[in-house]
Amino acid sequence: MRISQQISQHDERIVLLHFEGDLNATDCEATSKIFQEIIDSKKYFIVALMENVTFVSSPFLGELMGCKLRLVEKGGNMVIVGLNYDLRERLVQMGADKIFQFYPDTHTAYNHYHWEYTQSAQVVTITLPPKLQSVPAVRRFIAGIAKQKGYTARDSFRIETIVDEIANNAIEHGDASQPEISVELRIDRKKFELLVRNKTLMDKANQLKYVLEANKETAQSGDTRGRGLALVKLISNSINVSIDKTGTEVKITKMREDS
Amino acid sequence: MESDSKSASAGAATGPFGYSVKLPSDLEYIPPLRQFVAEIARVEGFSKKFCFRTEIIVDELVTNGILHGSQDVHSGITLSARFEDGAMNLSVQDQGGTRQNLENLKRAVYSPKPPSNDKKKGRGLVIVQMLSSEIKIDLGENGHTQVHVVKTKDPDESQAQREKLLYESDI
Repeated sequence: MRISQQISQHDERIVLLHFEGDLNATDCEATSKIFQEIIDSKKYFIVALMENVTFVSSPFLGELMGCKLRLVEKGGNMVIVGLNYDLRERLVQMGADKIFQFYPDTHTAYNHYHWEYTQSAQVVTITLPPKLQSVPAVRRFIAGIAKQKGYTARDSFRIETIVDEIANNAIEHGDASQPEISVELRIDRKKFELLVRNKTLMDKANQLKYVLEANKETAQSGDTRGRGLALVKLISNSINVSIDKTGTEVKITKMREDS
Repeated sequence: MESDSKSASAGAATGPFGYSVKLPSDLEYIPPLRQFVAEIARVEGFSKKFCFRTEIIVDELVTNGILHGSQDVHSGITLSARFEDGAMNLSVQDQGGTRQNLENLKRAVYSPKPPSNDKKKGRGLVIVQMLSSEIKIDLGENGHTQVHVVKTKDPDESQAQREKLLYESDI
């Protein structure tokens, strides 16, 4: 085995550990010592680079688990990057995927680090023509992102419902001549924010604001439509509407249920 | 913008009535993104086969953009799609990678050659070439790289128009 370390250029709190060759039981002691030195230097995030690893023995895997535990106790983590397919399959058979996250490259590992530890929100912006037929694709796209990011199926379904309602409203009640509507998603580990911007005729926009601020439903009991915003209010944590000359912006915030 | 192309008509896909998505440089976004573009193509009246192939093209171009272009975690990728005259104009813009990344991209686009059997990578853009009608690269002054793809309707697309009507009645 050969092992070398370097501080990540991306973030100095991250140490990159390059492993090469067969990782045998006889390498455990030396590896443990290196991990301890890293922890003593107050670096608690390690990316184990294993592109050039040809074998991982069970004792060595156990050693890595112990090292990871020491890092987690300090609020850090260790992830594994670049395993070839065969080795990855073997580690999965040994149950290592329940302990470690495997990533194809350092880029993805850094993304995971930011998502988990720096709590920074990720932003997705979509602009689309004002066609009602486009809305199912948009709502499924955004719900799909929520699922990919670890939100529960229930959260994702509710997010899909929110997107559907707000985007449909933006198109249906928007200015008929508007060239596009904009949907912005801000997502982090704890919450989801949706901003939908469109051009609306002023009387429609004021009506929307009235409905939301007066906490009223638009529908009478006999009406077949008009309950959408009431439903969105039920399943989200806040709704704000801002109106200016450039258009109307509806902002919905929904907290992640299991955060 | 410096245009570096072998095709005159594969222009930028942005414009009125087009779709645009800007997202973080993160591989996790690719599965929902490729499904989104395929579904939009379906809405615009293209066949299931066309949409499936579009999904492959989007997957490949955006993966390349993330891994070789927008390598900074805080950077982004922009995908634009416009559908008109029986064709899809697709554009994927990244922040631009290293000179070597760019050379590799140009070689893959303008002199596509499948890699030898022992190579695990390098087939993606060859497949994109096979599935699209035109492809070109634009280099922005700010170092950004744009890959434009035009994919025209297959001859059997009239069938797709009928499928579109059925699809719209479903949603």
